[in-house]
Amino acid sequence: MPVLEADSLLADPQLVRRAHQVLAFLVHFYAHSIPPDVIFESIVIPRSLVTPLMTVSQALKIAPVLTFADTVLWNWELVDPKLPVTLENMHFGRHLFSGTEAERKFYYGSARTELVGAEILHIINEYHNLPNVTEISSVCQINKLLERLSLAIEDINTSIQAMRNEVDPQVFFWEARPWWNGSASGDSAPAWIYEGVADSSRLDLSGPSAGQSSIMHALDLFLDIDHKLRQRRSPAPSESNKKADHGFMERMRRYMPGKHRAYLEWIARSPRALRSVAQETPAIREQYNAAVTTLKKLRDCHMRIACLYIVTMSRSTRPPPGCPMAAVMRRMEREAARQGPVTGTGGNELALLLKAGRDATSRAVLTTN
Amino acid sequence: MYPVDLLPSPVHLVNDIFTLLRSASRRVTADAKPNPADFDVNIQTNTGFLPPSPLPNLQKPYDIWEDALSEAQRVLKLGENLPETHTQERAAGEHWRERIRTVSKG
Repeated sequence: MPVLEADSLLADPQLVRRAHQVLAFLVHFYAHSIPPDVIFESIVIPRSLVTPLMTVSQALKIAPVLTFADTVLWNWELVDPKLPVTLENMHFGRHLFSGTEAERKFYYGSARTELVGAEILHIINEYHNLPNVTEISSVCQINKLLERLSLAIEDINTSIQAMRNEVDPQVFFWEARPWWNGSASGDSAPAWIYEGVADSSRLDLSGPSAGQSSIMHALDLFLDIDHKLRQRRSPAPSESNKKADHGFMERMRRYMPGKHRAYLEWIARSPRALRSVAQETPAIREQYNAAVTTLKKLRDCHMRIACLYIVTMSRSTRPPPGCPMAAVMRRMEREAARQGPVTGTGGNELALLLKAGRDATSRAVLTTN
Repeated sequence: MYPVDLLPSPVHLVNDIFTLLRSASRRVTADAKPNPADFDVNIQTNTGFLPPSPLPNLQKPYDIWEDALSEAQRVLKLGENLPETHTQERAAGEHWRERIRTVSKG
């Protein structure tokens, strides 16, 4: 394959996204189609993929690897191109690794959650459009927005819960998920070397994760959930909270398109931070707390699902049909070898991470006396 | 100190008004919210972080990437699910990877 320069694509944002998507899928197809017995320590990703992928990734300010954007945000077509872009008229999983329904439904469910979450972006926008946050009429408006926010969080939760009936956990874990792993995804998993790049270990090469969903980050920043444990809030973080990977959420932002990351940074620096406003305005504290509590409930439910799909599966010994036992054993060893916070998608550290996220959410609740 | 010293002189008064105006205008700038569309946040189309239309296919000469992806989806299997006895599938995978690896003229 020739090494093509991607420069002439850069004028059209849709083509830049498409190039990133296609090349990132090719990189993961390349790395994970190699039988482990022929891999010697590392995998060299050829320059025919790396050179243009680096160019478009820099243009998009996104990690040069498969991301949530490639698999979910951009991975759809219209059923009928003449009809508008609605969930019913979208076909998800335009590209699949495993070709399984579990993989397609996982992308579909994730995208549906994003679309449901668009309401949250409306709410954040309307909040910042209010003339002020002090007059009675504005305070009433904020309360209404917070009521809508709680409902939107419930809708997101419903969408996530529905995936339990849509995505077969066995197929998800053994056939789809391995394709998403990035470089050095476990202690014995090979590192990827990007041909022509001076130091590949400095690149963000973790692969996609639901932690890269901008909508959840927007929600956390709007409500000022302190995942990094920087604020003094009660109850104090537990020992297991402290062990979790606090930098995970921030690191995941590097896997988002730069413009989405900039939007999140803007919410974080909002001149009228919602939690501070709620602190100063007793009349909205109750609705603020209700939204935080709804988000905490969502995280409780999410923990149960993640437990079913990843934690339980990574401890399961039952091989999927047609999967040779040796490969399963190797995978088990790799999963078991994962120590400490690495990618956030392994077994134990994922449980720690999700619990810490849930507890950080609880700590945002304001006292009402 | 005489009480009159506490009163601002006309010059100070003018300065104070300027300072006030400046801080007011600064507050307006800080409050001015950017347009979500500038961040590829699609509120108007209700698609949020999804683009308002699907991604188009790449055209020549970049269509070779599209073709490689179509073939990958047809041919490639997860490497760890291919024991040495699956010689045909292993060979098909190696053939695909070799073509990606071997630099040819564009």
